[in-house]
Amino acid sequence: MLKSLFLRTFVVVVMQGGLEATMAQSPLKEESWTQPDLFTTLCRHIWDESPEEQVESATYFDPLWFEMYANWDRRANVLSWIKEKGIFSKKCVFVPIVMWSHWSLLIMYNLGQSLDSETNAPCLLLLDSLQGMDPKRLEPSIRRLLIDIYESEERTESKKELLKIPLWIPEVPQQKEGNECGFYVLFYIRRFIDSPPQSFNVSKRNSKMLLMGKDWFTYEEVESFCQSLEALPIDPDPDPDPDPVSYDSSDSIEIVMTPSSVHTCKRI
Amino acid sequence: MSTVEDDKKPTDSTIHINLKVKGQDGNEVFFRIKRSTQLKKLMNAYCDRQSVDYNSIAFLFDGRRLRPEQTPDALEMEDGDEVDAMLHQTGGVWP
Repeated sequence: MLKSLFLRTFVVVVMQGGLEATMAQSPLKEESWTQPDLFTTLCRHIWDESPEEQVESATYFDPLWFEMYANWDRRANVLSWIKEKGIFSKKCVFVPIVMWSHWSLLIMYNLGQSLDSETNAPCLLLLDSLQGMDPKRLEPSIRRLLIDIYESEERTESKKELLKIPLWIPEVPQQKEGNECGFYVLFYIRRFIDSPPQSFNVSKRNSKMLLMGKDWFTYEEVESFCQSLEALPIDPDPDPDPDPVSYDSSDSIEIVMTPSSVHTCKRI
Repeated sequence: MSTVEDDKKPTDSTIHINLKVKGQDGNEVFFRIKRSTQLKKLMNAYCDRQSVDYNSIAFLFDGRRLRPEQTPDALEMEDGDEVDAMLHQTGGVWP
């Protein structure tokens, strides 16, 4: 029932997002993978179909946020959006990273905990389905984001202390085809939620490999998950327009040269 | 008499709203739009003006994606609010 409810939601969201039906029918290995909000929609799918106790202590960012933070002068905006997520009360924060046309996944774990905790100290995990491409290159941006987050939330930890939070890049299953990175990110999230490392001491450096590894899941499992998402029913009518009769043709829009200008340079 | 009539007339600021769309390159475009108009109009107008493909741009307001059928009213936008226009990574593939 929950699943069918989601399927409905999925269709509505995809349609409202203005995606073509043909795109959504095969969302995972086609160009549509990065179309508006599809990733977030699929994340919501995972949340909706997972037991509440598994997802209540986890949250995720929009995949555009990291790039906006790293490359753009919208840092303050991104930090304010992150603040609304209340991540220090979450055990697990998934941060999809899309840089240089490649997806990877940062997991901020135990952020609200004491840095000195023996069993629950914060740590960062960076999962990459193409580890040969040196995921370590993301570390400067990740470190800066972490420090900025702590600062914007007015935490007392010093920059020096925060730099000691470990960033691990564990071995994880690697993609086989060229266009699967985004899907692997989603499946890492799926698996991490399914098997949360509650009894696992992630603060012990030597134990980290037990968490994942190259055999964490098989390629067949990825394929199966992929097919389950592709099987989501799609509304045959992709037109997101509401009743066109109610659409006021006089709803003109003006592009204004400056905010204070009273002159309109273009009317559409 | 006329004063009462004037009071009943909606002021311009209750009908229209000024919005700023800020692109990745820092370029800003200002729009004046009815509060009840679907933001699809604004999104299309921005893409036309910037000569970019509609499907290659994501619009964010307060960090959330704008959907074409939403209106400033529904989102409780205020005069002068900013919308971020972000170019999608093309493909999510390697390379």
